[in-house]
Amino acid sequence: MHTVILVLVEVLIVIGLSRLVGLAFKSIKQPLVIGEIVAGIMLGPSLFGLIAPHAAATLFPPETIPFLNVLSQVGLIFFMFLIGLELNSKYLSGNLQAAVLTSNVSIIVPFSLATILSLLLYPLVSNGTVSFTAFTLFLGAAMSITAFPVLARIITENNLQGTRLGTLALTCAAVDDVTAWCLLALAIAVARHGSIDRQAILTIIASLLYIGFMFSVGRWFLKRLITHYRRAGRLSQFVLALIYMGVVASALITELIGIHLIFGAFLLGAAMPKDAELVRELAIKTEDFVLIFLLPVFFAYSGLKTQIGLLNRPELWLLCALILGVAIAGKYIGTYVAARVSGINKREASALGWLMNTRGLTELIVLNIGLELGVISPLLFTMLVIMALVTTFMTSPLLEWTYPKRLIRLDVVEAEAEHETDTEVTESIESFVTPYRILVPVANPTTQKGLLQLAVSIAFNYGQSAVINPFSLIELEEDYSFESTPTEANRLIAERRQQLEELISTLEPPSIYSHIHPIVRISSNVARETAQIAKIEQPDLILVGWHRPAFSNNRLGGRVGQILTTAPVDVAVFVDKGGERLESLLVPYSANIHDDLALILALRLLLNRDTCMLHILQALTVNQTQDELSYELHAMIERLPASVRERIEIKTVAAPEPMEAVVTASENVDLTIAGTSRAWGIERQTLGRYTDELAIKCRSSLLITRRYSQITSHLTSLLPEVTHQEIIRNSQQGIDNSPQSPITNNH
Amino acid sequence: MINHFNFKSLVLYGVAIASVLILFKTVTAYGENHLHATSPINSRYSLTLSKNLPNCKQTNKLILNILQSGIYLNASLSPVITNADTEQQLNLTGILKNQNLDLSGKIDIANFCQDPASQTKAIQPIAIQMSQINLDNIPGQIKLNQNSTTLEFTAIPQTDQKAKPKSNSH
Repeated sequence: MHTVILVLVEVLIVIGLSRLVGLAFKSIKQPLVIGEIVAGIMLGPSLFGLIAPHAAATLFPPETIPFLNVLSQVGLIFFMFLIGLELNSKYLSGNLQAAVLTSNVSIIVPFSLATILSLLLYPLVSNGTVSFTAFTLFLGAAMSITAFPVLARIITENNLQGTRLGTLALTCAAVDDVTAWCLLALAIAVARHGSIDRQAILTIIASLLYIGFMFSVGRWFLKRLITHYRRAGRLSQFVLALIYMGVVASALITELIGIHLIFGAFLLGAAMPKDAELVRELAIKTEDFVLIFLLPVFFAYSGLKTQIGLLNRPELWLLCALILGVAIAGKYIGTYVAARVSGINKREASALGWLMNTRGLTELIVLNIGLELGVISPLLFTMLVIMALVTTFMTSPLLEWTYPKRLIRLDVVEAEAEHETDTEVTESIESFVTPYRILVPVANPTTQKGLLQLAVSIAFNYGQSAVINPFSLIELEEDYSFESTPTEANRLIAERRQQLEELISTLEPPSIYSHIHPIVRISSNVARETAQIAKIEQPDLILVGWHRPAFSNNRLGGRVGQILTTAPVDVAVFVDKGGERLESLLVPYSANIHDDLALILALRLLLNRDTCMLHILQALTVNQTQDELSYELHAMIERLPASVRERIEIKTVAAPEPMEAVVTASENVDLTIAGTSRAWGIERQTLGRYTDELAIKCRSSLLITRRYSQITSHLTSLLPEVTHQEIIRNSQQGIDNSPQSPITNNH
Repeated sequence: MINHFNFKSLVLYGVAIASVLILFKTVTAYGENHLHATSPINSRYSLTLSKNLPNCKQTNKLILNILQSGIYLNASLSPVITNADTEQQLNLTGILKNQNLDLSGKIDIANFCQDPASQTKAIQPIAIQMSQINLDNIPGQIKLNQNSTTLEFTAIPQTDQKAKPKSNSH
């Protein structure tokens, strides 16, 4: 086969597999990039070459490797440019002194440990052509690396970017990144010349001069370019061509100086004045092709050189474990001690220690350079790749362990809950003290006013305090895009918050605004995050709007279905058919816990709106007698205050198909509230899927309720909640509620 | 308070940098003078056996491919006729010590003989020893466990067209 065709087939496989494995890793809460690196290793001799040596040799013959190398080098140059572009002096705005100290100590400690470790490693895994100094410098640089880009994504994904820990970690990683690149440049200069001789020193001086040049003349020129960009208002292909030429030229210059291609590209990115608009446009234009096409080729290229099979003796695994131990301990201890000295508390210092252990992709770049220069042997390369993978892989779980999500709760929610509790009338009953809280996931603030208005109607009455948290998750589809950098994520959050505030300001009545607190967060999985937030916040109800799922016609499929299945609190799904009236409600009642919740919500609405009417439609199946079912319901209603009772009407249908009766009745009401029950064609089937029969047929807007707690099975358990509200309301209004008119009961 | 903090961190900073520099200088001075890594060996040797295998009329000329990582070696033994570009699985492992090379593993005996039908069992344990690896003609022996055969050979380093990429190539 022609080499070019073979290379293209290889690229096809590489991109496909890296996306696939990347997604698998994302589903276990790991950065996509780890999956891509693993995919590269899988394509190499460690897996593919092991299980199908002939197929691997046919698919990745040696003559195609130089082509993959060229593609991966181009990818690397532009990726380094993107990293440089991402480095923003904004990240240095935090606690700079603590950050500089922490990051430098977090380099010094692993570097020192690596220096000592090289005494053991050098005679075993290096060869005589490499000087001990170069070997030590290189090992030191490899151990001291923190991958700023991967760390930044982990921070965004955990919504840490606004916290003290997040900003500190970012500043540390940014300082670390720059320091480690300088260290690497030194290691390369020394490796190329054998030792710190005159040549190596000349290379270092030339590098320093070039850095000076880039930050003076280069920056001056780039500033002119930005003026041009601002005038034009867009990034023209001409300007982009100039910038790309600059990237390649700068890469070539650093290569000529004697360090490495990547430094020039990185420098140009770093020297670029950080005009927010230009940087965004430039990053977005550049990143897609680089990240989707070229970077996986780099991972595959490096995976082809990773041979886990080389670790074929127990002592080699021991050495690998030692390298791993030194790398982790060096980073963690260095960071922890320096952070504690800087006055950071234990938990944050520990979390910072784990965060700084993220080496990921940056380490892989360093290792490939080392292997290419011959400073590290294939065996040491494989050990260090394993170390890079393990240290990156463990970051997210260890961060969750030391700094659990519940500690990253949004302050605004916390503060409000406390405030409400303080001002609450001291009542002995618990439901008085805790505000009724509804979490409302809002995917699109422009179309979900109805949902929020319904939440207001359910939550607020004259007495019991209530909080509504419109909850908007920004799902970053690409976890490695410029969008997911912390600054950019903050911009998106601010934008969404603004939209939510605008939506809130359109709600009625205005007096409730102070009780509505939007939560906006970044999330990689909306349903999972919602369930997690629900677990932490323990709201009384999640009120979610219905969306047509992308891949099915089921109204309770997609994310809504996932929230219904996974959220550990009561959930109600609102299918809005338009119309803001809430004057007449219908609750089809078939006596199960989900219908109980439907009834609770209906009663809340009844209490909160004086003119509201409730029609309860009792459905009797073949085995149930009317009396049996009615008793509980009647008993409960008898105990309701009269002002509520008189607005309830109960009907009983003994149809074999109660669905039809409900559909007919729904024609004359504003809102139907139904539990997820088989009777209404809304039930949970195998694999957690909900059917949506009533959702399709219902003539009015529909609220589908799903009760979480399986224990509350009797209607009487609803009474305290409802009657307490009534008591407060009456005590505030000073109305005497003696039993009055009997309830209308049409059988 | 701030001054105190500054002073404390500056002292820590100064001490840390000074110690790492001293440590680095001491360790590298010691390492450069006292530690010696193994000399790099050729990655490709041509093996000529002194006699044929029992039950084999004509023995193949063999190529020994070696991937060296310090003292640790991984190698493959294959007949010359094999397409040189095909990646061989490195199924022999060994150690290089004092110019002596020891490799062991399992090998398909068909690699040795042009008439493999005459062999009883295809995959056999093998051990290869070479001494004075820096010579041009390296003496060595192969032990095949199945029939306790010991074969003497001479290895000649091959000029490697696919030399390891060095600093000037990317």
